[in-house]
Amino acid sequence: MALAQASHIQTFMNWLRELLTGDGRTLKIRGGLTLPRNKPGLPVDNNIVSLNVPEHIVIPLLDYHHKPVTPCVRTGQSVSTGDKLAPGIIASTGGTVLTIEDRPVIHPSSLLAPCVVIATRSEQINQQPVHCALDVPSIARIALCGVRGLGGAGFATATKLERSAPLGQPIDTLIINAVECEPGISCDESLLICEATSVVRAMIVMMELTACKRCVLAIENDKLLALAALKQAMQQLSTLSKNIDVQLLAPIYPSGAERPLIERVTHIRLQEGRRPVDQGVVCINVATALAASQAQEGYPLVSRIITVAGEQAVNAVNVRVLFGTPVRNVLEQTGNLQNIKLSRVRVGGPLSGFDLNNLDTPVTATTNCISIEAPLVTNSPDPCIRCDACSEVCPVDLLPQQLYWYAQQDDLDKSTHYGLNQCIECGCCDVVCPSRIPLTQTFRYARSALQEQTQAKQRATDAEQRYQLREQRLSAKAAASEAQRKMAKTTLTQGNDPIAAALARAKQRRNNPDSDNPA
Amino acid sequence: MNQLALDTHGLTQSPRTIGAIMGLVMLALVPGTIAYAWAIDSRVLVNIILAVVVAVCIEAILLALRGRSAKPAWTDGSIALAAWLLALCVPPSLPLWQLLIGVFIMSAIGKHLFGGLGHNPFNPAMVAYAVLIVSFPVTMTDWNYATSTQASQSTNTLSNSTSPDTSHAHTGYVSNRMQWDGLTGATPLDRLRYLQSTYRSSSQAIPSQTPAEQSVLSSTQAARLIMQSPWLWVNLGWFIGGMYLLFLKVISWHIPVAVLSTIAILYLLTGLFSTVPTLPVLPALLSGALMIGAFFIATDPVSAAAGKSGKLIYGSGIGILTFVIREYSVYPEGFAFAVLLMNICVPLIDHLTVSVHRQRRLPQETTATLSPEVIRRSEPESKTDSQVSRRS
Repeated sequence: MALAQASHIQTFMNWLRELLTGDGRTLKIRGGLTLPRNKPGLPVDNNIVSLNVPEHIVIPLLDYHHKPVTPCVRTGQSVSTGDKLAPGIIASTGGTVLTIEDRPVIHPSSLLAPCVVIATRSEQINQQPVHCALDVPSIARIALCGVRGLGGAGFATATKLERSAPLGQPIDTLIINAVECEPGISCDESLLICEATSVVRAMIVMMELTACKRCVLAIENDKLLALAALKQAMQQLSTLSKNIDVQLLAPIYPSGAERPLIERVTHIRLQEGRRPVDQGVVCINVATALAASQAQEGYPLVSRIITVAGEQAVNAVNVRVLFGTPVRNVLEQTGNLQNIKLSRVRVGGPLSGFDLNNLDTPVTATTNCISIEAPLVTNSPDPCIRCDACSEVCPVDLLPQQLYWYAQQDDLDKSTHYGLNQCIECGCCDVVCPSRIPLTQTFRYARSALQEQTQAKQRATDAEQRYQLREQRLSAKAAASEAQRKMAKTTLTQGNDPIAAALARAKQRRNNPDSDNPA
Repeated sequence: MNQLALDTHGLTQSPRTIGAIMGLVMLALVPGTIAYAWAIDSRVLVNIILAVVVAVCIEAILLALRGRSAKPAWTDGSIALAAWLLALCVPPSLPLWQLLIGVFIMSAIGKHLFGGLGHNPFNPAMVAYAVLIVSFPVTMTDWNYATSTQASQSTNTLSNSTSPDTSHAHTGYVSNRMQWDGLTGATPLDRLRYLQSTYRSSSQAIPSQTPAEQSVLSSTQAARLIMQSPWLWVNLGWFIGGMYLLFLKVISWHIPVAVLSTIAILYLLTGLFSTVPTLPVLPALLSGALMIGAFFIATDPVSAAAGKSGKLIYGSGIGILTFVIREYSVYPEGFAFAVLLMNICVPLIDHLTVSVHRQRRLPQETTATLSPEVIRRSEPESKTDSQVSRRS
């Protein structure tokens, strides 16, 4: 359906559908908050400024699970844009590898992780394709160009798409996620305003790539500028874009998160531990879709749009930043570095983000927003009075206050039972808590503890497996030599005993000394 | 945990603090309290003020003794609210020293023995009430308030037909001490209990009754007992306050609705099947401590069950127990004990409702995710993992 008829009628129809349809679908939006729309820094003249490339960039060698990966470059090696640095990680610009060492990366607990430091060659972000353009879109190209989810988690897009292919799981719905309900963040909106036509083209490419039956662009109904740009773009490309459904959603945070969004768009409630693709749904961020389609033309994913905003931001703006640029450099180039000591720099939005302790941490694919906020007035939280305000706003139906109770006690089993792994860390519960308990922070901590525990368990299992394999190997070896020995023994006992034969020969020699030199 | 700080950046309206929530609940208590002071006994105001002031002092001292900041005693308002509720629950004529003992028990045993605000498994006000009614049964059941009612006088003349001796045997201490005249000030439920017991004893003593004797107590009369009592105004006051809390979403509807609907259904059933005349539904809901209990006491979040289904179970449990205590025990009203008994069940309810909650979300396809095919599918991943770890 074209956007022309989409606006009010469709909102109403959606509402009616949500109200009326039954058949095992969810009817109402669970939890969530309606937050003020506070989006400074939208582009003014349809132009997003690209920041200059700093002298040194830092690329963390971490995969989606924050596990270190093995680099495939050496110190001193010269790399160019799009070169592979490690599995799934590409160089965002050309230069020389200075060193590979542990550096702070963007992480709630300012973790150190192995990073490749590159001394850059050019001042500008590379705008040239580095691979040839493809006629038929391919998933392999997406992997080659290092496309990762630009929405939140940074999952490798190629892997996401591949998951559907080999299992023969047909994709029913492709959701392009342009929902950004969190106040302050406006990078996807800026992208839509400035590059609506490319986005619509990208959606068509993605439809071709996933062979989906239906493609839905989910967007909030209060993004007026973006909607206007989109409408124009879809009218321009009306022949191609007629299969794209635009679904307008009421701006309820956190609709932009994958699971709540899928629930709102398709009315499918994803069960615990199941991936969207199991239900025939693929959900891709709008910027990721654009990057994946540009990958088909040969452009590697080396930069993203970042919102610099916040209460104390001097200059709220959306800018294109090369991956690996230190946060300090971004603040400097956007003119926000004055008095930064007096403020608090936060990565991600005001609700879902976290404070950054070190400004030299590099920007990655998942950094959608850098917000500069007033320093915290530390208030120790009051005790929980079990008022259940948190469970009312939880978008994934958890009982945060109960979960908090166990997470605080490090009771990880019980926390898992209460759904720790399903927490999407949206921060809604923090906002409504009358006791000002930092719930999300506690859950994040418990989750990392759980992850550590799982990894330790995995390591132990691996070690055990290796030990068992070794034991097997050794026993097999022992058994083989034993068998050989046995065979030798049997040949000994059966008739032609070599010792007896030798003795007989010696005896014969003694008896007939003449026949010493046999002919 | 204290180093972890939270911020919401003034993005949203800052959430209601605990103090604000408690303040709203106290505000909602005002209409009922005014009705109480006006229609029943103005001494209640003295009790409330005294209880609140002493409770805040005791709370501050206890907090200081526990090495905490004493400030929450007057900022979070929880103890003031509990003291207010306790003062409303006890008879206005209760000697002040007994009330103060109650206040001390409420703060010390009901709350701080368990770890203070948020950790008490029992409703502190109800703990104090239970201790008081067991320790001082005479003064705690002496509702000898100033105003006497038309209804009580009318029933008084009616019940003159039965002998006072039987009442002693069957109403326990409720009317033990009270001489015949003292009953003029009893609460409607006390009176109903008395009338029911005399009804029962008379029907046992004289199996062949005359129709005139049967009409000693009818359910319309029981209803009149409630509806013509000045307590009606007080209960309407609690109801208005409760509606205000629901409107402000300070409390959720689950507990009050569960309590009141359970009581209503049980009274409906007994009205149909019981041999002893009992209350019709509407007077039953407006009698005793039900209104203040359902809206103000059972909804105490700390000691109540969490989650929607948990709250419904908790509320209906309170309803059933209140009904059972009212109808089959020596106490004319059993809300406090019902709340305490259900408080004991809260961990169990929480545990069970979470399991239900999780089962609903867990797929039936759990078996499918563990099928050999899927395991085989996940094998390559684990293999690469082990390869990585071996290499590193």
